[in-house]
Amino acid sequence: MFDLLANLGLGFGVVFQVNYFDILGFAIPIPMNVVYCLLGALVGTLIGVLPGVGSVATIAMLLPITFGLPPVGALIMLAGIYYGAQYGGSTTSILVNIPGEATSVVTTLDGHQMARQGRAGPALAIAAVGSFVAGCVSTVLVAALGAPLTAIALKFGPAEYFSLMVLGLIFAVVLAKGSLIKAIGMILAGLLMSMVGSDLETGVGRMTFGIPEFSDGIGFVVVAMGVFGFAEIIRNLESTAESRDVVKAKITGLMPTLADLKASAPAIARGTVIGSIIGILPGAGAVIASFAAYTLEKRISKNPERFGRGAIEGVASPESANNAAAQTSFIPLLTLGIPPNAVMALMVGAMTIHGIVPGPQVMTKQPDLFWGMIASMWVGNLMLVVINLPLVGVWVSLLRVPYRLLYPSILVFCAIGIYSINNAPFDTVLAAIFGIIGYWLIKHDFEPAPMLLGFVLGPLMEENLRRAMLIARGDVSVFFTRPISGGLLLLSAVLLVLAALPMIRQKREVLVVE
Amino acid sequence: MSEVVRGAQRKRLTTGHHTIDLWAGVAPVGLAAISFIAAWQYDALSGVGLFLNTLGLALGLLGLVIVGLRVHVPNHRDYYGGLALILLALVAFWSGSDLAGMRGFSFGAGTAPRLFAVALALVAGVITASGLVTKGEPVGGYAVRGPIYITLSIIAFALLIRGFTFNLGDTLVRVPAFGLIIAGFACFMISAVGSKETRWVESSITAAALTAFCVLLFVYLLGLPFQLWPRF
Repeated sequence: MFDLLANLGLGFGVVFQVNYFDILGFAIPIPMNVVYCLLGALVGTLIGVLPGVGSVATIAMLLPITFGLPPVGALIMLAGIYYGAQYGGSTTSILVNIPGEATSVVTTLDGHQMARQGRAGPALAIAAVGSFVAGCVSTVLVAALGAPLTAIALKFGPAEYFSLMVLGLIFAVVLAKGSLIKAIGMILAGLLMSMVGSDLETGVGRMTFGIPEFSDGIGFVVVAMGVFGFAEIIRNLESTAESRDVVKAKITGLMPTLADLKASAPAIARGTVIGSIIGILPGAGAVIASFAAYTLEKRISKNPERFGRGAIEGVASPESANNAAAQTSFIPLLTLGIPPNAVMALMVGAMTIHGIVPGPQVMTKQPDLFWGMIASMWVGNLMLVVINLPLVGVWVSLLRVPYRLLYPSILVFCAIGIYSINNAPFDTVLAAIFGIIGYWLIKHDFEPAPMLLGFVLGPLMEENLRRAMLIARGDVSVFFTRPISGGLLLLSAVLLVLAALPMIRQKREVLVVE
Repeated sequence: MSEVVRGAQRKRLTTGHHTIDLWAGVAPVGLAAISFIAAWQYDALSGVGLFLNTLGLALGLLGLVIVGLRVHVPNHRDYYGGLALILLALVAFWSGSDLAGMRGFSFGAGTAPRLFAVALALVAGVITASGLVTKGEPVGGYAVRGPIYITLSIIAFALLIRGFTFNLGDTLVRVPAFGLIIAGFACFMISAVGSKETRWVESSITAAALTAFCVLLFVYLLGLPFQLWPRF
């Protein structure tokens, strides 16, 4: 307990560290990390509010602007961007009935109904408050679980790591939208594409087609922006008619009534618990968390018929859940170095660019970064409440920007962003090709998220597979005979079989389609 | 693969289609050809060689059956999706054929890619098969205008920002770097053509404003080394 407090203290110390800036001869103290966090949450919301731009695309787009910052600041800003994007997604769900984000799909059900009844203010406020409460609880949870999990992770050998990644990928498949087998195909495609470039051990160029630009491999930002950013634009251009149902009425009265608060308090608590638990599991954590929380609220409600007609619990619970899950999904990344979903996969990429190898050694070798990031989660959530409630009007007006002006802007911004990573024009063209591929994938019902996850995990998996095989002197059975590794693989197999069973498959489809 | 064919035949008998789905037949035959060429790069009796030859035979057979028996493919999304993933696996086999395999207990550079490619080909085979035995919605038309102008605008950006050289007959033509401002503006305007709703004046103003914003953000605030104006 004391350790926990000491660690959190260290974290907050990092976040609130002040730098002195010489302005007009006065040394003005500015807590730069708080500023980064604030900026991140602000631009994250700004981009996240735009319809059709999810949090993966938002982070991919904004990643280049963090390159110039010191590593701690950059990661704190990225975390801020992530929460901002999440919150922005909820705002569009409530106001426009377009979920900016898969995690806020359920929020549309009751949130938009509330907005239509003129209660957009309370809906937005409860979403923010719920997110904040969930954020506080899950920050402590991340801090508490960080150390013990890291201790376990340090005992892991390559075989365990490999099996753990298999489990993570299987989770991602089981919890993904649509067909199981197609999601597996996408993961394998991602793994295969990650093999392009120099071999880590021998330095031989692999599958480079003689193109020198490929010798460093394909950049993950290139893939992410292509299949999430560009492909989404191309698809949105297909439907010309803009059928946006923006709430035109002026938003008055942000404050929820006492009855609202009374009704949502238990819902927030339940959402937080569900979200925290589901978020730790690898896979589409936050999405499933919000669905599960909503379903639970509806089940245990005394009058479930209110749901879908503007019940405030229907906003409070899933919003708390998705924020809690967004936060706890950092646990596998920070302790094990394994990204549980596409957003965390991007965070891995960002960390690598800053020279940080995610994994258990981060906590021991760079405690300031580790605890600073955890503390910044709480600060980031506070920022969301502080900046978003007064700015709701601004976000609404942003929603009225027509798409014909929006998409070229996003495109130019992305193009500059990709180019700035390596100053390589080739990367932007490659991203455009991935955009076309992504469009093709959407047309054929393939989910790009598992592909990105496979793409990021590919090199890690290969490395651990190679090492495990070398240590075991070529004996494949090592993955099954070592207890932890065998257990993880068994769990993966059970999950896969369960998900493929007809009964569960139907339930899964219902959950995803709803 | 025999199950696939049987499933397909059943479908044909029940639906009784008599038009030939030519592309559905040509695609696997083409893949079969690639598979054989890729197999040629490997020792025919090695695991990979056998795998690729078997895959090629199965694909060739599939194509012939589809054309010969006039099979109607009920789920185009899965069918072509699976075939495309097979293509990806084949490209990996082909382009990675020069890489070393296992040496004793240690993985060579080519081991992991081949492992993933085999797994991908198998899974993709199942996806293709499911395209033959399940019903699905048609793929639907592709938009042409959007993708073309989006791609063009990005290519324009890539070419303008750094400049490029190309051969025109015997003379080497050098197009100078135009810099961020012109590249950004051009990228915006070209991509704007992709929507039918674009209004020119409005777009030009937005393009100028956005370019200015990007210059401010990337060059002045973030201090990234961009060239702003053309340099000849």
